[in-house]
Amino acid sequence: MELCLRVACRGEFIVLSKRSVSFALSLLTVGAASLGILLVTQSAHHSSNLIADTTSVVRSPGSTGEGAVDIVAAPLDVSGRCNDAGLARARSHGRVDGVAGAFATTASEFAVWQETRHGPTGPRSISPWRSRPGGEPIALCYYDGLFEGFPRAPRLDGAPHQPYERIAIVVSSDATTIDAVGPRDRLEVRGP
Amino acid sequence: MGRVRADRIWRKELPALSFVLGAVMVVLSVTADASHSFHKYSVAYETSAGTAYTAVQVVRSDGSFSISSGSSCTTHFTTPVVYQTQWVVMTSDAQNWVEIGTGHQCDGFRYWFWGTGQGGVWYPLGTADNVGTNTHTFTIRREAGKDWVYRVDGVHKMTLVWQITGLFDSVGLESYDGHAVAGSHTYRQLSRQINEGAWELWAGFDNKRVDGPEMCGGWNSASEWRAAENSSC
Repeated sequence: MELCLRVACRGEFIVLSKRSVSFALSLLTVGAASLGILLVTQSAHHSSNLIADTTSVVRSPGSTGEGAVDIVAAPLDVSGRCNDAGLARARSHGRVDGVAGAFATTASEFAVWQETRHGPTGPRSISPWRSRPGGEPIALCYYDGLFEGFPRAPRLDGAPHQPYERIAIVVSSDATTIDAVGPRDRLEVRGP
Repeated sequence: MGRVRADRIWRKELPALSFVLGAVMVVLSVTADASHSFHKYSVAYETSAGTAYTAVQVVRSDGSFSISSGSSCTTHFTTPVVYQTQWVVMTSDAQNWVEIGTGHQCDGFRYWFWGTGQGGVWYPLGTADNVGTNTHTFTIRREAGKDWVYRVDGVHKMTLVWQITGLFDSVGLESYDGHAVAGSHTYRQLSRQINEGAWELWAGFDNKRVDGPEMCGGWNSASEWRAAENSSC
């Protein structure tokens, strides 16, 4: 079996023998595997980099390891919650490129922040965190990536929406909750 | 002989094979992206009654839809998912809105949800699971000039304080699942309020959006919209 390929720039034919075709298939397999390894590596690289940039947490001079946020003074293990339960929740909504920010807070502090963050003219409602013990430690974790599947109002002109590239997830000791999701340039990384 | 053949592979066959490999990778990546980007509507709009919409109300059943495999049976708002829903939208670009609806995910995981969009960011405000397939009245109504009250069958779910009025109402089906089968169903007694006035039925056949070919929709009357996905309506 021979396969002929015409090389456009030089006008000559390359003849691929059966062995060559077999070699090509092997190369494809190796290439696909390499691409997979590359994607996994890039994903891990993005995650570790962004987690290292995490704001509002106290860092020690050294790192505790790859992909981890190093907390010294915070009373809550923000790194654990944002790297484990929070990350898993974010991944259930799409592709996660990395952690964009993490905040340690309490239920009462977070409730007040939720109720006032849009200012006196913005929307506000009674925070569900008011019904929890006020001192309960919680983490607010922001992730960048691409997140889909959320209810969105239809535009009047039928134009497509701006993609949701950031999600904020609240992680308590027993649950994860979506706080907000939106375009990266509209959902600011901030917390109580 | 072997050396000549190896040389031939490096000089002539390898570039061609690299090209083939690259093309395959491009096709694979485009295919992978496309599988996650389905987002279509079958919705009706009420726009002609003014620029101060303060309520939307719908009577409808919670459908029994067939959703593709892959969505969570316990975690809300994960794809693939289909929503029966309604909005009061404050701006034509749909960056600000209030919303209440029903989410449909795997194996009958069906839930009510309510929330708001502000500046293009969505904030979920609550959910209720195990909602069945009965008919209900879904209402969002502004009261006292600022209190947007979410109700199902008159039962209070949430109050959102926001001193703002709507530019239009909208109702219908929103899908993130190109292979879902949502049989024809009807949104009845479509109603609105202007500036917190009396309830009035939609009257204008004002506007609609039906994203084919999967989505189907149409007016039964000026106050009744039917919708479906991958099913005739």
